[in-house]
Amino acid sequence: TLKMVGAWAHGFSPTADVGKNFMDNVNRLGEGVVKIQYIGADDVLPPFDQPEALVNGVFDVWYGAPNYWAGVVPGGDITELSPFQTPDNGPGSDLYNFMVDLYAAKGVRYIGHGAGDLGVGVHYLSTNFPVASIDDLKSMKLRVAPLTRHFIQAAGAESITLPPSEIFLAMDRGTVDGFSWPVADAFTRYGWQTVTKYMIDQPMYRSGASIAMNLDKWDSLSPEAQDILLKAMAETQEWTRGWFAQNLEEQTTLMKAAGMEVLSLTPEESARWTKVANDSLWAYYATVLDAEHLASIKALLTAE
Amino acid sequence: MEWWAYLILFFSSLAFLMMTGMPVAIAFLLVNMVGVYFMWGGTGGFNQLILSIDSSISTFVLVPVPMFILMGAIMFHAGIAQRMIAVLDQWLGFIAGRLAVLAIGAGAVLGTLTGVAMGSVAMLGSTLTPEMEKRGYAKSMSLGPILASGGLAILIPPSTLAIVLASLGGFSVAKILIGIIVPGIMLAVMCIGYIIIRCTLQPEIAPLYEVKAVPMREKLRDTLFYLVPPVSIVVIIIACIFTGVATPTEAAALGTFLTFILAILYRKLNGEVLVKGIGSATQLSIMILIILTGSAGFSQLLGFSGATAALTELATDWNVHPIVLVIVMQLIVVFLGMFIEQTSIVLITIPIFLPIIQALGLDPIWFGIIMMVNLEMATITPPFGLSLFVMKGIAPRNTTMGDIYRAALPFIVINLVLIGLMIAFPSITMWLPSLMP
Amino acid sequence: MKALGQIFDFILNAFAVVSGVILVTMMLATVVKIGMRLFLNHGILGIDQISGVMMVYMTFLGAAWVLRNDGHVTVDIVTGALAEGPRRVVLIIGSLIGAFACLLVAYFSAQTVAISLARGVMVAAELEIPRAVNLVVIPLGSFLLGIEFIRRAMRFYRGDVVASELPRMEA
Ligand code: NA
Ligand code: NA
Repeated sequence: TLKMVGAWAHGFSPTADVGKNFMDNVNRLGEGVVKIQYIGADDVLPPFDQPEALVNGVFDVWYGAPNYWAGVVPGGDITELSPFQTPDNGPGSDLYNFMVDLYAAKGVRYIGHGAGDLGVGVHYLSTNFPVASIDDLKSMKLRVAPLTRHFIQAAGAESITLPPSEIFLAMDRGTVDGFSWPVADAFTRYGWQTVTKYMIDQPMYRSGASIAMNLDKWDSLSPEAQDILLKAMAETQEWTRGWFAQNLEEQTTLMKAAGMEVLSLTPEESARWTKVANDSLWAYYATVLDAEHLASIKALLTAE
Repeated sequence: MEWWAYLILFFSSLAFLMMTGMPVAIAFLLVNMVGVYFMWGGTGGFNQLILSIDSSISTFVLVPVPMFILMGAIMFHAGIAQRMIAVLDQWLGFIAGRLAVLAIGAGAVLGTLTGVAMGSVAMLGSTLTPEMEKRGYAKSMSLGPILASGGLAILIPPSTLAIVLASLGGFSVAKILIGIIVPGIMLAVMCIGYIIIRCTLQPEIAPLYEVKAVPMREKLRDTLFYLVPPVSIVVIIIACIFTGVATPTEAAALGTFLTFILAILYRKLNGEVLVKGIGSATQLSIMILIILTGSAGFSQLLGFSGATAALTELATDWNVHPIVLVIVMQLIVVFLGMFIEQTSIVLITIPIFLPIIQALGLDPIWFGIIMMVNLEMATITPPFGLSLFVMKGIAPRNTTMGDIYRAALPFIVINLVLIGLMIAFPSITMWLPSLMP
Repeated sequence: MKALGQIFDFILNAFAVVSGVILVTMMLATVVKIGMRLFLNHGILGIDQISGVMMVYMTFLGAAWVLRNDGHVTVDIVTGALAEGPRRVVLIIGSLIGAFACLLVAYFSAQTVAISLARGVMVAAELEIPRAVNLVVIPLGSFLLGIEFIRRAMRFYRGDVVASELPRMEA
């Protein structure tokens, strides 16, 4: 039996349900061979401590946001920049094997990154001021996630780190002028639609959920069990696309119903925005990955 | 091992270790190490335990704890607090149980200066009890109100315990700080009401005496100079948090900074005040933070053993009204409060209580605020409420521990009534926080 | 032996001063941050994160000093009720267990620091700093605490102090 801990509890967060889907797949495909038992989420270990706890062997399987690995596996969330439908191209691909090696060096077995289709269920900016161009962000105060802070800074805005529980108050009282959030991930359950005017319909990065295992534990599994885990992951990556599409649709409908306005950018402005977003993140990866890794990942992520 | 075996192992070894008189923080640490050995496996587990020690206190959410402690320490050592009591005394005219009422009022005012019960009882006890003795007050009327007033320091913002509770429970520090205001004021009013009624019925326990009249001009001037400025600092802190202009961390740092400025303006900030104030604040902060280093590990191990989930299931399957469960949980806190110190109670109970409250669909803020009153009461519940011992240390020679217990009793009842009211009428706790977004 | 004790006391006092300075610095840094935001409409990055690190340093640098002052929270239900002789025995045993725990933590946390450095673990927040920066004070602080526990046991053994008559401050 493998013990699984995740960054968030099932049910509340659609991203957490990706982890649950993986567990269900493994338990169905692996009957009699391998089984995953869910231990808990942030009630068991603080989310930001979980990646190191996985390496330390406190539990065996983990799900959460890819960028939670940033501190432990430098560049471990680089599939955020992937142009492919399945961010890591799925088990067996060159890109997937690159990720496996990157994580293995730190004692982790990379299992997979499940996300929506390109531009679905990803990071968006929501604001209380109209935005027609990236220039409008200049010197605004924006709440960021670790992943989006590079973009916000590159856009000339002030980045403020706040936990999700503080976003409502900060938006309502103008402590921040906007914030980044993967909209599909239960945006309206936090009540933010009542204190936010605009959602900028400009998708950034891939978001989604990452699944990983303790490397020693993985090595101790039979090839048959390993195979089941990879099959389960492939199924989950397939399933995640529909799941995020459904949630994004649901969330934007609720946001509009609450009076929020969805702003679109012109194709030129959209292209500028995307360029700044991607370039700033690449610039960050250049500081944490050595030149050789960086070159091969750039090649892998632009191939095909 | 079954979850209940872990539970028994955790709590019995914790109790045993605490009995040896070792610091509570180290007892938690040892239990965590044993638990890690069983559950997280070897060195990897110990490694993780060390990381959890770091994560438990390296967060800006807890920064208001040392800030509020520093603020209170400077207020006391610079004599600002003492001046405020003197001003309050000038305003209080003829009234049944005058000095007892003054004790409550002073406790409430001191409560706005400090986040800890520290010193509040000690200060009021050493300044007011001799005076009460001289005026022929009965022990019940001299000691009781001072004990009760110490709790107000915990209940009226700023409150160190509220921040610890909120950060451990993972709920909004701002809402807990705002939510305890109404119960704090209610407690003060209920105590004053009790004192006046009792002293009117039984004038012999608090003989009336002539009060020297202070000219109105002098009263107003002293109020303006010595009462308004320090209280304004607290009002600024609360306003900043309430309106969201600043985070609780920023508001706390700002309030502490303004306290230093005020001490300078009063020309009271000399080297001795600085050394004593900062020194005692550092000591007290470390004392609280080091207990918190045991927190992450302890609640994680409870979660990992399955005990938290099993107890939650047990409680939700138990076919009684949720309110009964809330009452049972509060009774457990009352019981623990007789023996151990409040931060430790929070550490032990919150990891178990909070999942249950959430599973029952009750409001954690409401529950947390009720718990605050209960924890505040724990300072005066016999046999081991710490304020009781502070009182013993400074009360007149002929005072026995029994005198102190008896004096505390009516005020414990008042606290229990307040807790009952808060359970029955959630709007008492939720009205102010609900005005916040 | 006595000279050694004096040196140790000097170290504890020095670290206590550092802890106090950290406390005041935390306040000033946050005030400066508010001021910058108010007047220059631009905050300083990372003050909150640095404050978090300072909390760890303040706590672990000062912990042994607080123990020497008998300032930690203890439960004296049993020890307070015992007669002088048995009480000393219990307090000595408690101190020795405390010393054992702290020295063990010192050992394991030193290992944790080494592992963290070897793995190259970073804190992925506003300021990307090695996690070991946070952690390194834990072995130092718990080592000092362990030594102070041994000294506490010796004090109880010699009967230099009875359990403090002073009521302890509470939160
Ligand atoms: Na207070
Ligand atoms: Na008590």
